[in-house]
Amino acid sequence: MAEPQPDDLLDSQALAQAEVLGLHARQVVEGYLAGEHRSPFFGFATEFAQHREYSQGDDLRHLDWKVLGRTDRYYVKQYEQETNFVAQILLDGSESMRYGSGRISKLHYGKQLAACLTYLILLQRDAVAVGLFDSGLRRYLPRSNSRSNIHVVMSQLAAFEPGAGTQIGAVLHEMAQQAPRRGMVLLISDLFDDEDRILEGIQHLRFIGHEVVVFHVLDPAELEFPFSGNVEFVGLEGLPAQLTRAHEIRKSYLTELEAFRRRLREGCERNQSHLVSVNTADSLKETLGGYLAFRKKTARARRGTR
Amino acid sequence: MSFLNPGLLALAAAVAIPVLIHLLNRRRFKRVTWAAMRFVRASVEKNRRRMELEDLLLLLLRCLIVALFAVALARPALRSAAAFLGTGRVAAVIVLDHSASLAADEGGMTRMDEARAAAEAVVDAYPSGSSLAVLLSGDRVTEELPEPTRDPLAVRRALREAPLSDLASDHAPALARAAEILRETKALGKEVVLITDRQALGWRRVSEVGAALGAAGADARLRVVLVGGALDANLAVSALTLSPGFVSSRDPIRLHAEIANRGTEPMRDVRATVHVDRGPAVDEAVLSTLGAGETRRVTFFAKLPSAGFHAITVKLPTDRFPADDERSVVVRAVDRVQVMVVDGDPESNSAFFLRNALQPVPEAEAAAYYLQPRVVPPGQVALARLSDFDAVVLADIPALAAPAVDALTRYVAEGGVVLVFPGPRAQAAFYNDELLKRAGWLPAALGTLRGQPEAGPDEPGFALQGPPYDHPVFSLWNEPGSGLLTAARFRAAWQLTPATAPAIHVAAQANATLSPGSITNQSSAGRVMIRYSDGAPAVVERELGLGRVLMFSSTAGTAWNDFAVRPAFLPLLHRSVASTAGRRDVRYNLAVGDTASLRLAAEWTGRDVGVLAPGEPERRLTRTLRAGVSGALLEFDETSRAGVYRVDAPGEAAALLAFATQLDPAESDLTELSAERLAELGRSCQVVTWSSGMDLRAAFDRERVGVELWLPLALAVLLLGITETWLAQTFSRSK
Repeated sequence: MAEPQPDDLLDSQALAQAEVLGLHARQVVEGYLAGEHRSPFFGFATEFAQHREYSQGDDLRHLDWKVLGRTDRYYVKQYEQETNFVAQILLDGSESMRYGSGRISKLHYGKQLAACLTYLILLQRDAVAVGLFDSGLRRYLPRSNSRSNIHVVMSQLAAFEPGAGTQIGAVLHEMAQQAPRRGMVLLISDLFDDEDRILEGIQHLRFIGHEVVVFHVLDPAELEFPFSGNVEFVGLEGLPAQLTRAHEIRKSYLTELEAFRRRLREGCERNQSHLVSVNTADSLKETLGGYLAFRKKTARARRGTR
Repeated sequence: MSFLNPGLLALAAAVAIPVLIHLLNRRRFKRVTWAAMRFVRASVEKNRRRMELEDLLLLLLRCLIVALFAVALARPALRSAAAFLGTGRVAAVIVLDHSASLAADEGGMTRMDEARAAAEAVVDAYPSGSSLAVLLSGDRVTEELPEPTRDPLAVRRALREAPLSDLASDHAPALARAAEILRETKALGKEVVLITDRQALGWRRVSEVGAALGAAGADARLRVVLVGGALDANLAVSALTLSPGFVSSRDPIRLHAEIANRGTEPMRDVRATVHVDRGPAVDEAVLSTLGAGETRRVTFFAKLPSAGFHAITVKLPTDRFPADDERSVVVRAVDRVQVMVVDGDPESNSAFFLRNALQPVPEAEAAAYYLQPRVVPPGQVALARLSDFDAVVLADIPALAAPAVDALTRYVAEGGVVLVFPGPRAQAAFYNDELLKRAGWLPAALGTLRGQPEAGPDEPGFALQGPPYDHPVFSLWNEPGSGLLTAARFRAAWQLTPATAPAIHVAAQANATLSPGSITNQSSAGRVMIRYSDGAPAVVERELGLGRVLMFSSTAGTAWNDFAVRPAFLPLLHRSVASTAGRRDVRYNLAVGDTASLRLAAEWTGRDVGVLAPGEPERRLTRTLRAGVSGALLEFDETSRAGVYRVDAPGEAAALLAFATQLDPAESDLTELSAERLAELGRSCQVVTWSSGMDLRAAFDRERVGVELWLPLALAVLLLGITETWLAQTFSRSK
């Protein structure tokens, strides 16, 4: 599978439709910016929070020149409440995401989805932070509402290589600690991990006040299990190989998978989170369009009730 | 269980193929890098046991299919181990029935013709390399090819040329002989094929047949090929006998014939005729009706044209079974009967009374009288030519020298007649040891002397028993007008103890020139002809070979009794000599298959004579006469046809001898085996009903290999194949 280039990650059709539809936060988001987003808070526009070591892609405008002049080190200044809406995009980069039965892997699809969401959010002048993780948070791009930051995000996504195992639950807990202010957490993953830990992580985020949207990315082969004959399944993430007559266990496999998805769905519902099933065989346009239309409809319904 | 193609059983090794395929399949798989392993593992764990069981079941089914297929190709059959060689070589004895019933006409051809055709089909039924023997069956066995041969041409020739006989049907001897042959034959497959008609008579000794086959070994199998159909009508001359008495050309002779209707319907106007020497009818009788199964005795008279041998034949109209439509006897008309009277006690008057009783005519007429007694002393017995005498009377003989005893023994064995009158000087030890024990022809042992020999005429003594009398010699006195036997008074008599156990004649041991089989040397037990009033035996008879001995318990003269002066003495003596002398004709009248042992004058010894069999005038069998006891002896055993056999010699205008063989009357009974008996027979052997052009090989093979199982096995393979396919599809469905 060819290594994706930054521009490949943006689906122009998907973005066009997404622009039209917009991204509407369903919940009240903390922020200064008065606009389409209703905010319960009023105050200063920006407030210095801390320094962070410069990394590639960081906006040079935030470079602290004084520190550079004094210490000859590159630090950027980080501000709290830079924007009125912060979306945390978490992309699962574990080994299992590398699977793809067709031209595209789940990880690539996830990268495209993350890129589209980033672009969309920035287009709305909202802030977005991107985290890439496997068994831990491997890379984190701080929040930014600058459109010029899109290329940085794309570059980071494109350069990201999948890791070994995955511990989604732990990562979610870590995110909950790193982003104490309420916002939106968009998790893109195949969720092949302990679902209880995952749901605990989601529950943690929800407890803080985040809106959590889970994009459950699965390959069509994983959804349909179209194998027949003797097949040796070689596990990603270091799991031992399993030889079986695939066609004879297809029904059982699908039952197991469906039970897994049902448990996740019910867990998300319990935590008032939204689980979006993503089939990598579907185009991003369909995936994003469908999801955003659903969000818009539910947002209007909610406003109508107030 | 056996296999027709046992080599193909090796294909059962292909049962390893499904196993190999199974193992190879496990090594052939597609490798897929997979993320959702947890679901695959869970599914596999959940289905592992089921899949393993399904795998095992399918593997077993496939192995079973291959194994059954291999077994089916090997053509298994339920049969004895002999069939393990499949249609391989078999040792078989073909028993062809050639008894008289095979002469029955079956519409243009006889049953024998059908039997020969069936026999050739039997030869065709055996695979090449089989060894076959041929026996001809009747109540005597003819061994055409006694040693199993692999030359089918010889077998065919023997069967094609097998002659029809007039023997009675009896399968037991031939089957027993076949069993013996097979027992001595080394072969895995042993079979006996009996080709016969449906006559029930042949199976009358069926138990012996079974025992004989059982003795041949467990593998010997019997097949019966039945030829011929039913015969509803059959008239038979079932018996023809001469009335006792002298046969001469002076007086007509009396014959008794039995005419039997062995058919299922009554017959009307049955005409029977009598022919002498196959000339025109000399007497006839017409039976207006003769019921089904009825036998009627008819008396005929015939006058013989001259002294010598003559054949008398009683004929019926020819029907579909001609073998019993006529019956013949040979008689020897004699104008003179020579009787030797051996006078053992010149002081007694026994010889006097005997000579005068035998020739009760004036001196002038004595030479012309038909009975010619000649009195000789005991020392002359061994020197005289006994074959010139028709009877020998031993009167008051104390003892005889050994040569005389041996000569008398051979004389009796060859058909001579001896009358014994033991007198006061008789040495009981000689009689009992020499004549009874050693020679074996004395009818009774001498015991103690009964009565008072010295008593006067007024002494009442004891008398003979009163009528009725069973023996033909005494039957005359059953009629009141014939006088009384009981009038004679006996003052003394020997206590007679009839010989009980038949003894083996020892003449063969005494004279090496007399082969044991040349004459019938079996002796009967002594039989009481008449008793005294107190129950003690008065006259005892005994048979030895072809001869007969009559033993009286008292004297022929008046020393111990007054019988010699009684009117009954003369007819009694004449009847005794006549009945026994008439018996000599028995030698000329045999049953079919018997060996004829006939005497000729001693000068014929070493000369060749020809024997013409009945119905075969062109076939003249030459035999060389050999020295017998009292002359030349002709032995002839090819007597399988009923009728008159004539013996001639080059240069002789007339026949030297003649003898006749008669069909066993039972053979006229053509009653078929009942359906029940056929069914019973079919349970122990294979029974095939022959029809012209029939392929016996298929029938034999089918029976030989038993029930072939390849078809049910093939069906089982098919069924298992369908089951395997269905199961494989079912099992492979996603679960």
